[in-house]
Order: sequence, then structure tokens, then C-alpha cells
Amino acid sequence: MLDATLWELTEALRVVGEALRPLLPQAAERIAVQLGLTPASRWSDALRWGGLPAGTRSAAPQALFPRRLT
Amino acid sequence: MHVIGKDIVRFHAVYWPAILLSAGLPTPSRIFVHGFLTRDGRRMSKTLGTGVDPTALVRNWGVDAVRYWLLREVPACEDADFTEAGFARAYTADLANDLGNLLQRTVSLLHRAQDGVVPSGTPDASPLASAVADVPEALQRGLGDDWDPRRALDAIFAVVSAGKPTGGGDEAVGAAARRAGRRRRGRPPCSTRPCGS
Repeated sequence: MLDATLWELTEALRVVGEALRPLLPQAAERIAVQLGLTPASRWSDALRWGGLPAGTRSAAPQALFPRRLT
Repeated sequence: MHVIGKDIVRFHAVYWPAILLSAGLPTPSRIFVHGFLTRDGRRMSKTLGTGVDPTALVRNWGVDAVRYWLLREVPACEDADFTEAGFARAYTADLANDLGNLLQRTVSLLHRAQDGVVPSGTPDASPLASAVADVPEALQRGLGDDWDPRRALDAIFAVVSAGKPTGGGDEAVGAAARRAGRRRRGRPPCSTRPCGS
């Protein structure tokens, strides 16, 4: 149950990161680096559900957009 | 594509094409008319100093935060009002709390439960999978034919929302992760580092 959930969450974040490439390129790159992804050969393929290989090694967690005191 | 503000439509949609036509030059195939950006409900003016300094905004919040506000909060063809509070709200709610927290939570779980390695999963039907299925078309329309980046971001953040913890389910994930962590001789959770390190 946990494995499936973790894979799904990571897969969803992989697609979110890829979809953000033309919009928020720095955040997109940092998501990819944090998840340990290798770039897909074609961007349109990267948006398809199911592309995350098991065994991908993620980097240490880091705040992508740190909370700010305003 | 000819990009203009809404106050100069007549000159650029009537007179300018007429001049081009009479000179025998090609006319724009599309004219994109955008609205006005105001600040705190007032017109931005260089003389009055009521503008927003984009360089300072980028310095304070990061370039992607500024991109995000412009792309998500400004309707393509309508006016939008910039306020510091509104900017901060969008940053905190969407970028820090929703997207940032989902990433940090997921990667932390991966490290606690799996030594950071993605387990195998089956791409079954799930709310996340169906949210992801809407993304390619939304991107193509929002960044292409329709030019409405908000639509693309709506679809992307719908995926983020689908991944957000929902009371019971998340506790189940957390408990399973703690058990898995104990099985791994109680390895300590990863430390988190601040952004930009």
C-alpha cells in the first residue's frame, strides 16, 4: 500500500515538474534534480502517466519555495 | 502575432494593418490585446512612483515566483491588480504550501521508508493519474491556440491538489512509513536544507 502510494506521489510530481518546464523552468529543474530523474528524450512523452522507473534514487529533500515571513 | 495593450486597439488593429496593406507588406495574422496591470487599484506611473520594480520583486522572491504570479494571477485579456499581500498569498498558498510541501513530504517519505529509492508501482487508475491525464491538452491549449497560461497552471495544480494529504489517508501513509522506518533500524529522518544551498 505504501509502495503504491509513494510511487504514485513521486510519479505525479515528476509530471508536475515536466509540465512546469515552460512556465517555471527553475522550479521544474529543481524538482527533477530532487527526484533524481534523467531527462526524457521527448518532452511530450514525459507528460504521460507511468514514466517513472522504479529504482530512481531521489536526492535529499530541500524546500522548493521556502515559507516566508511577510 | 501582434501584441498590444487594450488602449491602442484602434491604431494597431485598423490603421497599422491599413498602412501595411497600402505598402504591400504582410499584416499580422493575429492580434493579442492584453489588459492593464494596476498596483493597489491605482494606475502605475513612473512620475508618481506607483509602479512595481520587477527587479526587486525577483530579488526578494525569486524569478519563478514572479513568473508564477504573472502567469497564474493575470488573466490573459483582462486587467489585474498587483498587491504585495496578494503576491505573498499566492506564493505561500500555492508554491510553498501546496507544491513545495508535496515535494518535500514525498521526498522525505521516500527517504524514511525506502532509503530514497522509488519503489515499483503499477500505473493503475487513480485520482492522480486522471488529474495528470488532463495536463497535456491544457498545456497545449493554454500555451498555444488559446494563450491562457492560467489554464495550463490550473491543470498542473489540480495534480498537486490531488496529491495533497487528506486526513485519514495521509495518516495511513505516515504510519506505514514509520513502521517501515523502524524496520530499517530506526534510521533518522533526513535533515532538510534551506533553499539555494
